[in-house]
Amino acid sequence: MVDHAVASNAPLRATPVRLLPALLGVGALLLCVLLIWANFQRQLPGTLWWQAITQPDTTATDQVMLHFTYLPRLVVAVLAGAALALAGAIFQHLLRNPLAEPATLGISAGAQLALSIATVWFPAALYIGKLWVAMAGAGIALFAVMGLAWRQGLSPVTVTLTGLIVSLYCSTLSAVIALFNHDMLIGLFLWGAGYLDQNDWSSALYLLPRLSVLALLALVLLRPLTILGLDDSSARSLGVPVSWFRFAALALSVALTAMTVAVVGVISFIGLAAPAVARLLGARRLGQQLLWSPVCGALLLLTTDQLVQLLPTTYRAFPTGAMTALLGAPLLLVLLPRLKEAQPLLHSASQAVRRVQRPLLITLSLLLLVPVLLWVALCAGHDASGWHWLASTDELSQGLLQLRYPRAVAAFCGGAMLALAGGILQRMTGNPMAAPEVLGIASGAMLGVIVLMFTAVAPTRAMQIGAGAAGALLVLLGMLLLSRREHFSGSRLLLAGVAISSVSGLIMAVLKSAQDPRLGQLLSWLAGSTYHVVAAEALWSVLVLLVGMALIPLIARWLTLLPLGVQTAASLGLNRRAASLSLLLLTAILTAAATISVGPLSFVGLMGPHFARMAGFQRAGSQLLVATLFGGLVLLVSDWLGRTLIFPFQIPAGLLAAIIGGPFLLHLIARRT
Amino acid sequence: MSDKTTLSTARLISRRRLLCALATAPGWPLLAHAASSTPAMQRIAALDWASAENLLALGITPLTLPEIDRYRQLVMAPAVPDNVHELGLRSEPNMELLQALRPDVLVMNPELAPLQRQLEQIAPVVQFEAQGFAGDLRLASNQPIDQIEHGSQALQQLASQLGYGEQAAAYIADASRQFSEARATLAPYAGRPLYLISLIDARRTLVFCSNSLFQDVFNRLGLRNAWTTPGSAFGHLTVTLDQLAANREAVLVNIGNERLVQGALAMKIPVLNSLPAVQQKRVVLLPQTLFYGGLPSALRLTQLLASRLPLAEGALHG
Repeated sequence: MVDHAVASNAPLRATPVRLLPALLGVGALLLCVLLIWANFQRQLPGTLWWQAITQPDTTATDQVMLHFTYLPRLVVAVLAGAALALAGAIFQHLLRNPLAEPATLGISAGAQLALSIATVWFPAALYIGKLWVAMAGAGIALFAVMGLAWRQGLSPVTVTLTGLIVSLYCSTLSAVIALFNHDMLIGLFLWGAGYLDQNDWSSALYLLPRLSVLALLALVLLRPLTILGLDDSSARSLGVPVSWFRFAALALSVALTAMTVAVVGVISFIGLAAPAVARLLGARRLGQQLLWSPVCGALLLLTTDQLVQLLPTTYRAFPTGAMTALLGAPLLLVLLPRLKEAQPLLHSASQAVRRVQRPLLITLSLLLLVPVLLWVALCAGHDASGWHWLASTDELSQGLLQLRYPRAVAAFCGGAMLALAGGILQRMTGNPMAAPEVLGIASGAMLGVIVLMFTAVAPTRAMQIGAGAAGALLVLLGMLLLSRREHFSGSRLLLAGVAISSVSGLIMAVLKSAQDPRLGQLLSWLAGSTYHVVAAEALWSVLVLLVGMALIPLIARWLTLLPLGVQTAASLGLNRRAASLSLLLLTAILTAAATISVGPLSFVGLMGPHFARMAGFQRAGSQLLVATLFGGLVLLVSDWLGRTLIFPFQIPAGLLAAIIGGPFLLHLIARRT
Repeated sequence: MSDKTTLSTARLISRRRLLCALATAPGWPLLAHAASSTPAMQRIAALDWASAENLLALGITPLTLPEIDRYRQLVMAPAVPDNVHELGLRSEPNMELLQALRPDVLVMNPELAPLQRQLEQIAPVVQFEAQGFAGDLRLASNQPIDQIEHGSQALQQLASQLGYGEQAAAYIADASRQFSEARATLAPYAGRPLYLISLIDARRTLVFCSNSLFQDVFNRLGLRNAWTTPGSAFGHLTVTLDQLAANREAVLVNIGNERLVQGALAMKIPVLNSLPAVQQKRVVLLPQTLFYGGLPSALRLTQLLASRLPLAEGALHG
């Protein structure tokens, strides 16, 4: 099938090019068989295998273990891997975005939120059925996405964006619940990490018939799906009711994912990596992708799981679902240069451009709002007896001001820097899902801080900043090295960033499930809290922000020219690689600086640029400026509200910004026609 | 070294005072004021649970405490009086509130060290670490620490700094008496293997390992931990339930989550139900205890074991 595709579709690409992927595929298969054999060997002598599989002796513990824990686990791994990969392949095709995966549409996040709420407030619901709670959460998230994107005819860009925001929104709410109740949620953290171990055949027997039916349905949808891969007008001219088929296909993949997630927990990365690997191995047409993606996904998850089971007992508690990132991320990085560059999703190309009426007036009002809101944030506060306004100059007021101004300033600068970085990334890659955390730099900073937390006995603030900066710098260097190669740009770089983010996701999942008493601190920092910021850091972030903003007029031209394509840009005198490299460097520095003070949960990096664009600021320079101001103000207000609303408890600014901003952004997306 | 000497002298002196103190337990702080050389501090803000637990154990009411409701659920004893100020999340003790309350001193766990310089603007800071860590790396190392000894020393040091040295000495002396009494009570269980767990869900449980505070309680009481390998730096591991079948003689002692465990037992979940301890009704349910709270936590577990373990033989709770 692969060879056929090569012959018919790409006669220029000869066999040698396919050699590496083919070798990798065969190698993975051999490795997997070897691991299964080793695991069998470890449990039982070969002569008893058949008996243990077919009719286990119920008095022999090792046979019972093989029959009721090892074998169902193997089957569940294959089923879950295949289902997630199939769903991922359909998503990526339908949304025309290589970054799309089952998690994109908020399915895992919705399920997780529902389970969090049930665990904390309605524990009885979990006795009735964890599965139903998870499915309900996933279903509600899906309906939210579909409802919001319906008026746009479920266009790929709208569904992707809405899905991403609903997903982020659900994880934000889960993060708030976790911040205040993490002592109660350890069982949920375990589910979130994706453990595959089984006690009996029930999960396997639940998944098998349901997933088979859904896979058959996918086959029926093959032809309409192929047409949906074209642009909407061609599809309509071929007589396809675009919205309805898209709805059916999305619902199908969501059902696949929701069932899998409900049963085995969150399995990261398979849905993203398996279709990419399948394409890299030569699956070009949709039919081939729908066949080979599940094969790759099943193999990837099975191999990971068998590896996990071979680990020494102490480390066998590592969650398979998160470990997939460890195998998948390097694989994806190695194969990335071969990935066909996806069609950029330019907003302006597909949608009617609405220009803002009075750009100068809006920009000036935003600028004026900065000192006003800063003043309110500094003076208005809450104490044990109620609200107060700092007017006097007594010692206490001075002390409170000393506590308040660093975090207010850092919140504004952090938000502004993230929005600026997000704006540059979205302009540069033409991908509406591009945001600073996607680039992996925020993950690098986060990993640096986590490593420090677990190696130093009493880390100081300066050490934390150093560790965060070092982590961010390492990832940045890696990214720069990758981008210097001809093959790496735009979407590929974003994919590499997603790969790195999922590795940090693995580490977080392991930490969360380890019941470490320091988890609370980590959770609050991850949630974008400005609590720890001191004066010197605030001043530094002002400096970085000012430099970044001063550069806007210079980079605006690049950002206008870059998306026009290599030829156009070159003919207008732009050194494309130098420009990309500089932009990337700037984004990385902004992200690292912001992450260290306000944490990696940078919803604002995604939200700021979209707000500016939807408000009618279409040109690069004005979009960046408005996005920057907007991002800063959102975080400033969030920080103030978070500090005062539930005094003496505090809600991290990053979380509150997401809670306030999410619905607003969704409203903008849904209203625009 | 010198710490140890002062500690043992303090113990000797305070034996007699201990009896006094026990007789008039609520009057402890007053007694201390009269006796101690340094003036005892009054407005002591506790920034974490372990500090608060240890202060309360000495009869000192802290000015503040984070997440009071959750403390009442998960630490339970010693009880928190109603006049203690809520300080917000453990990870982010509210500095504006601290500033307004004007405490004499702040007591905090070293994990809050990044805040130290900001906190020192408000009041002097005393670090208190009830749990000891072996080596520099926060990983289970080959150097075992006696957590009870570590917790006692830390408590003594903290109390001396705050002007409550005598109470601490008395408390520590009382603790060692309680350990010996409980050891005598539990003599029939000497050498008997026990799994000390905290059930998470129907498939998994925390198990307390050989490098935990609770292991040192076992050592004091002459009990044997059925789980023999070390765990994380905090002395526990998350394991699947089937691993508790390894020792078929063991008694299963569960800490906290009583309703969850009773529910799981009632639902006859296969793996849980197949464990020898459950089959032969050797299960004991204990209420929550903070597993990194130092000496007061060790004492609480001791009291709970001494009172509940003898009732458990053959009888399944719940």
